[in-house]
Amino acid sequence: MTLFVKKVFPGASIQDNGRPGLQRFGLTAGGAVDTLALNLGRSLFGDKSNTSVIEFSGAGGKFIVKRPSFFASTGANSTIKLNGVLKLQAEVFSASEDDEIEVSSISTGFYSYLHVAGGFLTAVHFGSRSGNIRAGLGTILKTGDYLPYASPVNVKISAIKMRNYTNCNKIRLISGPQTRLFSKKIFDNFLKTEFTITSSRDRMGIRLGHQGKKFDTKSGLNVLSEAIEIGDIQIDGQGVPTILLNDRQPTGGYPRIATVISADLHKVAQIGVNSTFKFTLVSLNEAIKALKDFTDELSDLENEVFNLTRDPSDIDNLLSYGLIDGAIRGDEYEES
Amino acid sequence: MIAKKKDIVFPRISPLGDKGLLIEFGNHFEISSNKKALALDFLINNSLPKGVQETTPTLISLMVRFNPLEITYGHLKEKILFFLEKDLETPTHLGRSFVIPAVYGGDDGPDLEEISDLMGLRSDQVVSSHTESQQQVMMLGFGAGCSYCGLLPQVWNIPRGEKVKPSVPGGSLLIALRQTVFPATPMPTGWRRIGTSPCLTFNLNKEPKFLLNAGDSIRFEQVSKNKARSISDDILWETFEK
Repeated sequence: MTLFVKKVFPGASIQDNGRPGLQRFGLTAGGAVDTLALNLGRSLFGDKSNTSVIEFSGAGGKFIVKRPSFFASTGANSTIKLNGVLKLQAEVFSASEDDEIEVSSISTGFYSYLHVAGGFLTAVHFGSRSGNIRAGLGTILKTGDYLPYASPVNVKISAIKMRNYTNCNKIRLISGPQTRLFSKKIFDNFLKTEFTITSSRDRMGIRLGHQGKKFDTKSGLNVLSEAIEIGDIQIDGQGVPTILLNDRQPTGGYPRIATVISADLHKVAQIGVNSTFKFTLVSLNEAIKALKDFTDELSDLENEVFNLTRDPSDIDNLLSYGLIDGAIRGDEYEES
Repeated sequence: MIAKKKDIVFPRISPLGDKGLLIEFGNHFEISSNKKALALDFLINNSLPKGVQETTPTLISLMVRFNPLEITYGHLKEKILFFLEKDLETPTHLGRSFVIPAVYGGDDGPDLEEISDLMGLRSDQVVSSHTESQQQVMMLGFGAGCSYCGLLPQVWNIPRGEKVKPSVPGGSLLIALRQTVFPATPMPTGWRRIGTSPCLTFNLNKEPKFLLNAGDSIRFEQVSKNKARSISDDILWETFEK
């Protein structure tokens, strides 16, 4: 059976590791924007395979459980409720038939995730269930949908420590083949500028706002269409920067001033609308060191998972228990 | 001639992000640069170095994506320099050839008259010139299965249109700069549309799902609107199976 989508806001989709290897055919890999959140959830369920999750962008939804299973939420700081009772993020909870799960109030961060034990079993294209609007692949959530999911197997009521990475104000980048199309003065200015995340953002890219001069190129508007890498920061004809993300166009002719390093992609994607940040230039070696650290962090997640002695969903007066130290970050309730 | 200090020597290899490497064969379009990019693409895929995940050829460059924890940028660059010593001018492999039916003019090609005016030809001459031209798939990009084909004869060197159309259907034949852009999904475009094929080259029910690959050859064939109604994507994949 399935999860019924009672209400969902635009921008929610099923996501997994995406479809790498098809950029030469005009299709970028897609996949979950926040790979740390994706893997935090997978670690809770002991999933080694390419299980899929619901990705929310900026707003959540309401769901009715049609078969008992186990769920968890990760990613941006959001409120998750089971039949109106608050649940903690990064903790597995059980839900019975006709229970209502609500994900709402995404506060710090932008992308929030709802995991189910074993993953969702929606349509597969090129080995992935990832929703891609432009190419018409995978599943984009709509109110009234039924989302099939796997039968839960050997699920433990477990938890993992949430991380605080959804309000970074420093994002690392490296220069690229087209950096030279910008004068040194413009590039230095770019690195000094405080940028704002605008509401013009989706899985394709994030348009940045800033005070002050535009980032003019010397000759960049004549760039021939070239492959675009995830994290590339393109400067359009108006001098406005856009960070290109998972569902970006495969190729493009706007000059790219620099590229966000792989280890910071999930961080930049999680910065909330109207939040500000600056870029820091690093070397290729530093970027690869950061990637290795991030890769190690992901593979160590399974060792951080701990079992909860009781199923919190069975505890009606959960908040009266002294759970605040240890299992959770500690500041969740200050915001609600 | 002695190169000035700031002159760039092509092919130029540089990092593109921390998992990518870009080989550029020039800084303006030349068909010879595209042929070199496609030849290098073939050579790399023919003996794929460990750690290389995918290659994306475009008009005058090739992007190689790799796992830097399996192969270093420096080591990959060395391997690519080795390939670059080979003769990239002489094709080492032949792409496949396809004949693609298309309806020209009318609702299917609303800009045919405008293109004819720009080219100083009658619209039937424009269509003949287009259908007689053997075009190479130089790259795919912009959207899923959207191929950039060319080069058409010099008389087709016309600029992009000034207005952007919010959406043209998959199968449109879009013209500018001696190229035919042939999308497989709906897309916005500033290019002029002279015709539409009843066939889409991206079909989830077929294998391969993407029919065209960079390096393939295509020629368009004019069909009537009536005939187009009876044509499905099957005919392209049937050609492929032969």
